Amino acid sequence: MNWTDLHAYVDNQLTPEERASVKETVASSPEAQAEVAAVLNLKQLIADRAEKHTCEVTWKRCQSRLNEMDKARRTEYFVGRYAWAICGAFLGMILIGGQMNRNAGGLGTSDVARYASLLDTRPTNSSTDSPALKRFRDTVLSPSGQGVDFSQPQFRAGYEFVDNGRLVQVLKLADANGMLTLFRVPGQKIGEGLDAIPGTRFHAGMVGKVNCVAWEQGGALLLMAGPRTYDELKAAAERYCCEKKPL
Amino acid sequence: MLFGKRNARDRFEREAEKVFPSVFGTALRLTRSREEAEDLAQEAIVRAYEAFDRFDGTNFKAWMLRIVTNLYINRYRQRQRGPMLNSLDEEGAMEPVGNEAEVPDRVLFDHVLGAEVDEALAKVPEDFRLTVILSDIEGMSYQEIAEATDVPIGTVRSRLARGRAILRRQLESFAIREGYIKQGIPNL
Repeated sequence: MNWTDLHAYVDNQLTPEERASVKETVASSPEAQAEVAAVLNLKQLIADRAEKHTCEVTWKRCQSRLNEMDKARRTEYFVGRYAWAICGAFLGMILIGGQMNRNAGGLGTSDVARYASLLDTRPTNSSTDSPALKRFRDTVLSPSGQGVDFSQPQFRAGYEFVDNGRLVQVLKLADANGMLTLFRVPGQKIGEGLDAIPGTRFHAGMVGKVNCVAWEQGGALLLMAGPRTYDELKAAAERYCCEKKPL
Repeated sequence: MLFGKRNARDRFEREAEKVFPSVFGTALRLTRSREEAEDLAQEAIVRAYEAFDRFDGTNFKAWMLRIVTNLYINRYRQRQRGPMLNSLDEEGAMEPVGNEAEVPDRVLFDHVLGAEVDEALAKVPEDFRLTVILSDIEGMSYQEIAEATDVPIGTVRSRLARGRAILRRQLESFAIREGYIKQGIPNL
């Protein structure tokens, strides 16, 4: 007698033919009957008495992990589906931010360097007769006008042009110490590349090979350049421009 | 698509909650450590959820227990303590433990507490114990056990018979020690 067949018989895991055969054997063997009874009782004991373990807390933890998995899946789904849109949005933000920074941000060293070329030459697209330029010139030159009061600069030339979307007004002046070039860029602020002069509103830097000072006044950036020291430039700027409120 | 996922989650959770006591109980009986059993059961739930779209829809409990068993075999067995299968002759001849002259006394078994049954189970070598748990506690068929443990049905049958024989001896010792039966009169 194969005892594994007896267990399979008790477990009802035999084919009908096998079952019939084992049943016949059991019927004729008291030893097999005792074994069948023992196996049945053992199965019953295990089924009845195996410890019931509480698992509510563990199940709650499982649910929490499933929730975390769902969150991760939703994120993956969203990112996967809208990856191009998200990348496009980021790219757009970068471009818009860059453009805004370019238009509304400070005037940097690259701009100052470009203006250096204007110290001696004048852009071909410039004009000399706009009302805004006239107002700027008159303000700087007031109150006594050119050529009479030596405490005031003399007007040599004035023009304006548009550079990278910015209006740039230029006055070329002369005073007792020599030539000065005054730039005015409405709507701009002082940017990188110009160092603040401590305790003042001015920043100092170089335009080409000459010194310049820059400051903000009346919602515009002003930059005065000329072959003189920063202190002299600052003094000229204060005298010619900063004391004139409407500038 | 997200709504489809939500429905799948609901379906999975309904099915899993029903069979979780079996999952956890099996994990506990296999690892013999509540902490490890919690890890194993949670890992099994996570694996099952990940693979739920591949579930064939027939027997969720058998599928879950198969995952638990495979996880245990692959991950936890190396750390497992206690006697291993190769310490015994798995395919050895079976001999009856019961005695034809004695009638098993069900009344005695009713006094045996669940903890003793689990303690006795814990002393059964691992592969035999796994087979007995899946068969006699979780009610899986031989075919399902064979698939879950990745062995032929013939091995399942021999492991089950051998495991039960060892378990019977364990419970018999307990019964004698506790005075439920007299020495030399097996009741199982």
